[in-house]
Amino acid sequence: MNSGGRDVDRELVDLVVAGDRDAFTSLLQRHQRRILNFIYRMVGERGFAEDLTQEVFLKAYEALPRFRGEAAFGTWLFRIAHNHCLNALRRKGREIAVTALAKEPSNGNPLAQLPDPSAPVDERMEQRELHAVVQAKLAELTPEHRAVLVLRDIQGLSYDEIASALNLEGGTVRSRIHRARMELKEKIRNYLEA
Amino acid sequence: MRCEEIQDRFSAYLEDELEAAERRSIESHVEACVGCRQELALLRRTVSTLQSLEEIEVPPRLTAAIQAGVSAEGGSRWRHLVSRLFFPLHIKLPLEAMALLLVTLGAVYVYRSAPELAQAPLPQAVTERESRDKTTPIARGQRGDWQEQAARKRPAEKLRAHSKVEDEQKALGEADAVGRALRKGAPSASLEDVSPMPEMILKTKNPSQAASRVANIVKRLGGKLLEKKGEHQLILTIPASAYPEFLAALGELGEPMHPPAETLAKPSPEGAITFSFRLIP
Repeated sequence: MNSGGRDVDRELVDLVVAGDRDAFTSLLQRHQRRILNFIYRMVGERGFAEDLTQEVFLKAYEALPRFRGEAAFGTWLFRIAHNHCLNALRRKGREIAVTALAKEPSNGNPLAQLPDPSAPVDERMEQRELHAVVQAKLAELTPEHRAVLVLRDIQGLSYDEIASALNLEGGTVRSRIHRARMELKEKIRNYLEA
Repeated sequence: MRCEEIQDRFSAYLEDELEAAERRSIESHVEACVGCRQELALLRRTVSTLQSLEEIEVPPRLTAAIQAGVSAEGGSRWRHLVSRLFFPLHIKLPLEAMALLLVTLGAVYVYRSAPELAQAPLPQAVTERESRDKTTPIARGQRGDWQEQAARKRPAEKLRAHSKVEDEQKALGEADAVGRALRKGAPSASLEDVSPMPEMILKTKNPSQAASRVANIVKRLGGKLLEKKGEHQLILTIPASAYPEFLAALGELGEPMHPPAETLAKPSPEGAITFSFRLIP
């Protein structure tokens, strides 16, 4: 999210507020992939993530007149998406990510592909299998820990952007990211050491 | 620094956020400590694995759905409502279908377990009653339209409360029964068939004596005293053709009260009329 990106987004937002719906399509195309992937990593189920993504963008569209530009548009979107995910997870129970992953078809079903960590060394995991393990273990973290890891290590947001998106202090973001990484490391230790 | 303190700085170290002195301190510790070196390697690999996770693609249908939602603006509140009602689809649609099924089953159960619901008068009975209230009995009798009105009513035999409304519903039900009997032209209609039945009231100076005379008149006209309920109430049936003569004979005994004798029936050429006849002083 460079400053140029923020400027373009701001101009598009102004156009949308002025009544130009095509400008919203441009905003959508610029941000939908990141928002969908953030939500997918948060809830763990692709269909559910698509539902939530749709709701997030429609919610953002309605809230656009109240967007003041104090944060970048992309960060603002992540804030809406994050809050929406937390609400959805609270409604459905936090175990949703784990149970949902277990039900996912082979395309995006990490749990179904989990290798046995005690398997012989010569059956080393391929990169795809490790990804499956990480996604499954990510789902076991609290939503708060999961959110900072996804925003920092998967989406690549800066600490400041994460602080803005999650409405946290910078120090809190740093310590939370570290604790979340250490927790995930412990959960996948057996797979990493295999 | 202890190993625990060193490891607490690993994320900042990997992020290259440390001052040069602290960075050198950590590096020298890790070089000497196998355990911390291993932990740093595991953490580095954890982060790199997260960073290498593949992204999923946005399906065209999702983009189209969002655009459609935005295009439906102007119905923003409507869209919000629809969204709240139906999204997420895979959760709410089955729940809503189940709720609808339960409500339907509940309604059927209540309906079947409470027969009075099935036999309750239709709303139009109230309308009819209001219409009747606005019309004097005589006027109604002159119109002679009670048969058509009564024919549209459903009997409410099971409603036995003594409120005014229920009494009127009962009267409507009785009229219905007679209406049916007249339309069928059924001289042999049993009491069960036509019950409840309409009632004619005759005000007379000597009810007991008049009752006896009425019975004689009926017999003379080819009718029959079906039942005597107490001293002053008779259940009568007479040929429809003899009805005008019956009315004329009544005029000599007293004054028909409620309903007026003229309104009891428009006799058809064939068949009989069965009704309750009450005498009051």
